[in-house]
Amino acid sequence: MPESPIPKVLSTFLKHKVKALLIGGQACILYGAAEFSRDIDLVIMISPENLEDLTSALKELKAERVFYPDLSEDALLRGHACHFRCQRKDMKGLRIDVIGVMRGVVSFPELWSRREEIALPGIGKVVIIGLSDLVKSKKTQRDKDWPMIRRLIEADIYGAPNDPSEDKICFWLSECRTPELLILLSAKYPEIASRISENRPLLRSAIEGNREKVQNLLKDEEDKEREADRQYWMPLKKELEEWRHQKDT
Amino acid sequence: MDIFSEDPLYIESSMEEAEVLDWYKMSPAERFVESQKLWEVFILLGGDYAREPDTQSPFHIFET
Repeated sequence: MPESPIPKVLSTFLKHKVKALLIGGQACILYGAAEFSRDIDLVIMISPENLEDLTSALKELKAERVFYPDLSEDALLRGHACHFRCQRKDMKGLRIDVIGVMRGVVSFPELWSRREEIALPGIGKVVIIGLSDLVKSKKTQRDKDWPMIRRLIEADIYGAPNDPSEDKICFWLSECRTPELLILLSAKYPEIASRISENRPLLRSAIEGNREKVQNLLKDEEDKEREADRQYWMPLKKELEEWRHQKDT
Repeated sequence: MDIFSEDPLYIESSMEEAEVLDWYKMSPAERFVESQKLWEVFILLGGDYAREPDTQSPFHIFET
């Protein structure tokens, strides 16, 4: 019976004490937004010692760089991601992507302070990015990330106690992407909704119960973030192209 | 616990889907275990570990 390579990779990172937080699809699985993901994404602490530990883990996994840039403090600090593909027989082809800085997301030390630790059978305690930071990291130019945000918040609301904290309610009102739930949240917590609407104007339509308008404004929010993400990556892509060109010539 | 479970508007949202709700009900560790089982099916059906192309990724042009 073929086995998932994911536990082996996570165990290897733990064994080498890599200071990293699980993000991306695997984090979405743990938070309830996804069922399956074929790769592993990590945000890592950028330091010489941690890059050494990461390199040791990647070596054990026979993970080779896929394309530019090489793994370095400089590349990670500039916002680049470093990409690897495992060549070990039991996980050949599996992608591991690492990043040190993410658009719209706080720096690693703060991410680390908000981390979650989840004990996974046969692996141990896996460290995962906090939910609110995961949501922010998913505001990208890719279609597939947006339904993921919607489900992350739905799962969080579903799993919440009957008397959620004010912080939690603020988080839902700030990030929820399900029109019906935004209307319900606004009706249940009108004062908080009114306050948050200063920063998120679509909540005014949610307070009015106008589902169609909320839907349209959610799309506007998404378009704005997607464009901001494209702009963010533009100079980084240019840099990657230059590196590739230098290598080719 | 579900704070809106009795509300008709809530029932109309995507959370009404039974499979989705079943997934939400699980603990993170349970979801992880179930997700790993999907790998077995995925590989048996001919899937491999290599990720499918993501044309909207900022890195797509460098992967090809």
